[in-house]
Amino acid sequence: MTDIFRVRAGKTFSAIVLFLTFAFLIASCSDLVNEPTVQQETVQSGNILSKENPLVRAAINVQEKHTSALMDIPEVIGTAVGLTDDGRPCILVLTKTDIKEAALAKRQADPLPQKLENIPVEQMVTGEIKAFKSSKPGTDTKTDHKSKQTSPIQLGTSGGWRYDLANGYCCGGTLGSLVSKGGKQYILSNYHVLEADIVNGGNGRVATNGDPVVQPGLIDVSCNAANAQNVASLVLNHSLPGSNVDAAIAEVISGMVRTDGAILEVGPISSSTVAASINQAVKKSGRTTGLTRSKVSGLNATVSVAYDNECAGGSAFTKTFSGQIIIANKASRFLAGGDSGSLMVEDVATNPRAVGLLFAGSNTLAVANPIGQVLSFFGATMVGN
Amino acid sequence: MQKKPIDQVLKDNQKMLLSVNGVQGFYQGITDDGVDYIIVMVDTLTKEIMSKLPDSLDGYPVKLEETGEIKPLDSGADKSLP
Repeated sequence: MTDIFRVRAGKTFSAIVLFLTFAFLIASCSDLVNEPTVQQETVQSGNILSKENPLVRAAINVQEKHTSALMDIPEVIGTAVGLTDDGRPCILVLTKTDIKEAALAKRQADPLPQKLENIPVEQMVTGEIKAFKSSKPGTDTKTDHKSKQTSPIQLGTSGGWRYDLANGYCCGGTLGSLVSKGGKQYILSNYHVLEADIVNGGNGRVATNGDPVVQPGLIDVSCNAANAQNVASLVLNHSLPGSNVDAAIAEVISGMVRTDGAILEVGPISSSTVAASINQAVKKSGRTTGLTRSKVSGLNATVSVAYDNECAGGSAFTKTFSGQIIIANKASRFLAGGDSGSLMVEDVATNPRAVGLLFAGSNTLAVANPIGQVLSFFGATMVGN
Repeated sequence: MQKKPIDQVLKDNQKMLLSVNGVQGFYQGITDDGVDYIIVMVDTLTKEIMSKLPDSLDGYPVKLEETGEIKPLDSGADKSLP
């Protein structure tokens, strides 16, 4: 007992070897069980700071057995083995937010067990854990969505407004898909990717009819437009703030875009569309995360989104959309910054039908305009089979 | 009495829900058992926001979901960086 109190007073965080599912952390489980056990004394008296220590090994075995179930709990992003303040091995459950407190506030049951097979379990709120891997265009073996393509280009690629450079920053998104209107073909992306510069502000210009749309976007050519190619000409439609879609089109420059509307890693799509349904499997091809898959998790969404008036500019307006599609986006694995403008299609192998135009999100969910509303806004149809 | 359609409930309560500071939006979900419910998206889940939102609306359960801020997903790069 004396040993235990001394350790607590000292807050022993040092030299703990942790077996981690996702990340390396040094931590201590907090006080969970008041009654000291034989295990505690053994741990305190021995050299326990190794994975080979039998008590740590036992905790790791229990952790491995239960990690899958723990990971199914919302907000849980990993597990680890650590030590309690009084020196006992425990299982740390890493969470994005404080799920114990949230449950307490809602008078709901504790989402985490107190013990698993007699090993204490403790929550550790870590926030989101991100991989800090650097990436350069063309350096990996996966399909490259950021590099300059040989024309005619496929869509699902980096792109944007040629002059999207202001306030020391350049901006861009995804040239998502191809639509047809009046016998002409147009690249479909978002208003906020192609048209959103509405003040002279930091670059002395606003988006104007006929402005070039480039591939890749300035963000992937070190903000130097000379290293990008013009693939289309902007046709202003001002979908925002007035309409219920965040959409923009640019007329294809002859020969610069594949006329079948093929999308990187998706291929040609169907000219038909399909309405979203809950649990529908979907995929998208975008500039930042490439080809990713998820499921529709909600319908009829009303969501407020704040827009800037130019790249790295000031606030333009906040738009409240209705009737939107919500897609699961845990840890931004489906959609991340730079993927705006991607077309969301049903997850089938050939000629998938379009479901929505992706435009916003957070690190838990993504938001898409229903494709039917987008096409109606322009009076256009999808280019496809 | 028959329940109102959930899309009507969402429409009727839009103003009230969006007036709560921190609410990003709301949508319709379906449980594994096929029951409709309402999810309210909040920037940060706090006791204050929980106290301001109802447990149910016109018979549909209300669940809160901490989403963080929902933003347009374009991307920006610092011009001065290589």
